[in-house]
Amino acid sequence: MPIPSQPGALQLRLVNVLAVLTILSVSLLTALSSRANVIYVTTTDDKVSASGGCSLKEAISASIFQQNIAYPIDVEPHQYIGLGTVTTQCAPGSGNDIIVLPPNSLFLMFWPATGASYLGPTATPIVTSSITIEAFGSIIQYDPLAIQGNDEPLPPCDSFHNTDADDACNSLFRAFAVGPGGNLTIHNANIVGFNVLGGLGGDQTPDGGAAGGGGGGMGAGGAIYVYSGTLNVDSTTFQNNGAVGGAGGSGTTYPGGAGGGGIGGFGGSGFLCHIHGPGDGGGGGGSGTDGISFGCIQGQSNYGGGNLSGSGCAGAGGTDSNLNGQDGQCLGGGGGGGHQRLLVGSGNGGSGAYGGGGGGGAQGGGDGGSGGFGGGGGSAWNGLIGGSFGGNGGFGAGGGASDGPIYNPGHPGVGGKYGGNANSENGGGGAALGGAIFSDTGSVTVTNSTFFNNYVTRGAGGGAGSGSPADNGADAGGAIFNLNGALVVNDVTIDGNQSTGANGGIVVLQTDASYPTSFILNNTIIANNGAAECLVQGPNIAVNGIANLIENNDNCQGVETIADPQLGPLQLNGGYTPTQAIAQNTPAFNAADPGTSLKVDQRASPRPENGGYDIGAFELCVETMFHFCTGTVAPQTTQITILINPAGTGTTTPPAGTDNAVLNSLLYVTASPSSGYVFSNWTGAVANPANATTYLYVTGPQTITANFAPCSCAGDVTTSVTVTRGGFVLNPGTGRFAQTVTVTNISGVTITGPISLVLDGLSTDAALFNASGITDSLDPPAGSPYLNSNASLAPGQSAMFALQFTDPSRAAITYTTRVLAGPGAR
Amino acid sequence: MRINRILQIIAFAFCLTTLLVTKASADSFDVSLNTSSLTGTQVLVFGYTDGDGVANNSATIGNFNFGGGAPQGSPTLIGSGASGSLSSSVVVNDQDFSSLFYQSFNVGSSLSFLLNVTDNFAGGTPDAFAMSICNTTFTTCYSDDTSTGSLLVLNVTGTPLTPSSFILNGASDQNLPAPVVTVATTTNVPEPSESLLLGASLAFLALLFGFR
Repeated sequence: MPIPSQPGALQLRLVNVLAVLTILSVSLLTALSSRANVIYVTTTDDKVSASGGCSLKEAISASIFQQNIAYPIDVEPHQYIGLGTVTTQCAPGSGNDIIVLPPNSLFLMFWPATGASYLGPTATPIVTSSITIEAFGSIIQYDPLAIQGNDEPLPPCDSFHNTDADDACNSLFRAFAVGPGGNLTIHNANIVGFNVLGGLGGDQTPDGGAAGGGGGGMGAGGAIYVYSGTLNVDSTTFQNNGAVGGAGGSGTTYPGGAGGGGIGGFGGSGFLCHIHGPGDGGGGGGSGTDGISFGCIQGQSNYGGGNLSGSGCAGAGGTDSNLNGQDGQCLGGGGGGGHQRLLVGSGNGGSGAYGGGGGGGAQGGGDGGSGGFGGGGGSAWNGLIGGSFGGNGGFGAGGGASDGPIYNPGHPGVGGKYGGNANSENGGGGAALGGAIFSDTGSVTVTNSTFFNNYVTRGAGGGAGSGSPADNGADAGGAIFNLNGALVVNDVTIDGNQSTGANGGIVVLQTDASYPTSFILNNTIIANNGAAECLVQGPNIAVNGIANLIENNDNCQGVETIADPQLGPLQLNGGYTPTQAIAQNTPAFNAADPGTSLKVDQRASPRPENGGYDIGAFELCVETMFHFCTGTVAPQTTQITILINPAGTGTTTPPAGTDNAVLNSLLYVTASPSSGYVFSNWTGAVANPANATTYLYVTGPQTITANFAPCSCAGDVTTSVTVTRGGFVLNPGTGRFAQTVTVTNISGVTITGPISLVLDGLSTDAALFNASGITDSLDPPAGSPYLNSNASLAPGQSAMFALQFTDPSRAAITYTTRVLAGPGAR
Repeated sequence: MRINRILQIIAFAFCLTTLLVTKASADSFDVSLNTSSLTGTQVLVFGYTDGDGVANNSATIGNFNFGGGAPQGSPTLIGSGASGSLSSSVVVNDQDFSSLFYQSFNVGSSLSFLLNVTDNFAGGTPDAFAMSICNTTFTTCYSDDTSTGSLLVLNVTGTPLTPSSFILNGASDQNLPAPVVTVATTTNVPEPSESLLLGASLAFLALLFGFR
């Protein structure tokens, strides 16, 4: 195992400075957030449409496109059908946006975003703008049960359940992806249950034979995939997310080599292409769509299958004029399959681009194409005298099979790093890397967060169960896998994440000294993740760390203790997201480094407590005679101004005027019209301008205005009267409950009739039998029954209302009262 | 000797405090109604409805006099808070949201009974006690108040009860006058805990005097 470089004193100082600058940059980003646009997510539905509010998918699209448009959802996983865009109800983004989720909501995600992400199926579009998601405790969860409204989960997509519209399968996908130039920050989210599957290497029948299987693709980034972008995660919990490597394809008796799997799409099968063009190779799988989608299925006879990733990135199959399959044309594209022309020759499969698998070679000696990054190699088909090189797998992917021809030995493809090698018949298995987060040449900062029970599961070599299976892929980084980039982890708890063997926690890998790679690990618990749960490997990695609790370390810096942290269960311990508590007698208590510890923990509780900083995302506070736990940190505030337009036409809560509000928090506001007026809307950056009660994300000094309009509607005089209720009396004859309610004018002026007694929130089992009407939306809440008294009320005068309720279940009758007065609508 | 005296004083004080502090409010009223305009078999209904959400009130109706008439059949009880019979006494309380007692009777020239009600109120909507007389098919309940169909309604508001606390209705269509309510006697109904405390105190006193 290569030993990471040991930086000198100067380098260490530089790394420290880098750490401070990185964390400061996150703070600065927050501070600068007042300049960003705010996009409120107003529905938890996983949808893209022109109505129904603004969804998470749509909000991210609004930032990326800097206008309120989004690609509609493709209902068939692993296909791209190109439906244009939809104008959504989100606020347009600016490219530097804050997306605010409704607090403590549940987002069940069951569709991968359209466009077949070149980083593999993902619930949301690849982030290429600057986005901060303020989740306020919302759960973002993968939900296969909800797909298409089914009560039962669909079968997972595999080589037998993939692109056929009549054979719906459940596509696996992650939550977020960040592309080059993208900058994603996530605060206070709970990301649950996402999982990705590397594309399966193409195969057809398990009985072996002349043509081999393609290599399996890499499964990476169960929750988040970062490719040359920036990710900041703070006060967020990742639980039960996982990455599974694609299995290598098995050998087949049919002619035509199979394609290698991509990051997400499956390699095409020689058999399926055989239907259209005997002897052609299968297309390599792309990142998001399958190699068999085009070429074979669409009937372009004599073409090998390519792959489409969004817009024409697939390599075309070979033709009579050019037997070789085309290489993947852009990110995510798989290589085309080779074409066989009898008595002329056999084409080679094309190579996959980033994320794409290599195409299969054609019958009679075509070589398999090499996989791109994460893509498996295509398999070769033995010829009588030539060819027969299986394609090598890209990083994290398996090689393609190759059997020996009569006069030349076969050359099975070699798996990429962590990928499995092929043999003569079967493709190598793909790797599984980064159960929660995978980063390739990116910059990732994780603070005050918890990773629990995330996993990686390697892809099996093709022919598993047969006599000569190919090599399995490997798996690593059950929580985080960082490749050739920067990673900062501070005040984090990483517990119970899993891999097949070692490396179940964090893995930092540098494959070439020319890639700037750094790793800063401070005040972090890494425990119960198996052997070598923190691994640093590479020729020139700038590493630094202090005050870490790592039970089973392998080259990570700054280990202070290896003792069992005795973590509590993952649960809400205050704050927005679940955490794992520590106890006073555990080794993490008061053992962190004061210089690098953050000032609050994941729950926003203050650090330090009880005389020291704790390791991990949870700061324990024990109350004693001399120490009290306040649970809060003095917040930063800013000024919010609330105006009423026109003046005097209504009131607001908080009252109109300028007052301090907590920065980066939600300020709830309510507008109440005066008598004779109706609430129109809010102007300013509130979540729901049409709702009288809504909230505002406080990013800096802001002004919002409650607008009211005159209406021919009754005024609310509730504060000018007293309401005295009599008891309920069951009328034995009618079976209805009677009640007398007396309304008395306690103001100094006459209240003009008719007077309406409105029953808001009437218990569901009861109905007002003798209601005069139901309130409308002019003076909300709407839909409440009311009873009229036509007389006006002089000061001190009373009106009696004889209410009659139907209540078949005889359950308790409850309601609150509101009194409207004057002519006009209620 | 001096200690014994001190103990006696303490015991007396304890009894007095028990009586003063834990007294439950209960009031008794005589209710009478001239039923000479009615004939045959009618149905007497007592209902109790909970308003304040706290099970802390009841109404006990006894000493029935039917003026030459008599109860008939067996009672019907709706809700867990209704019990008893016109032949003896009836209790309705606020354990359920609505409890109802009814039983047929052969009408005489008058109807009278003793009503004993508690008067606790936790705020909001008061509990309510009501009395009705209906025909045997319940198609008509005799009252000028068609909303409640009742001859007598009492809202239990926690304020001291007097005859004027009752809402009384006649039934013009049946020439039925409104009931007449007068104060019977005021009885302090001891709470169970109060009885125990009082008993213990008296026993303590008896013991002390016995020693002497």
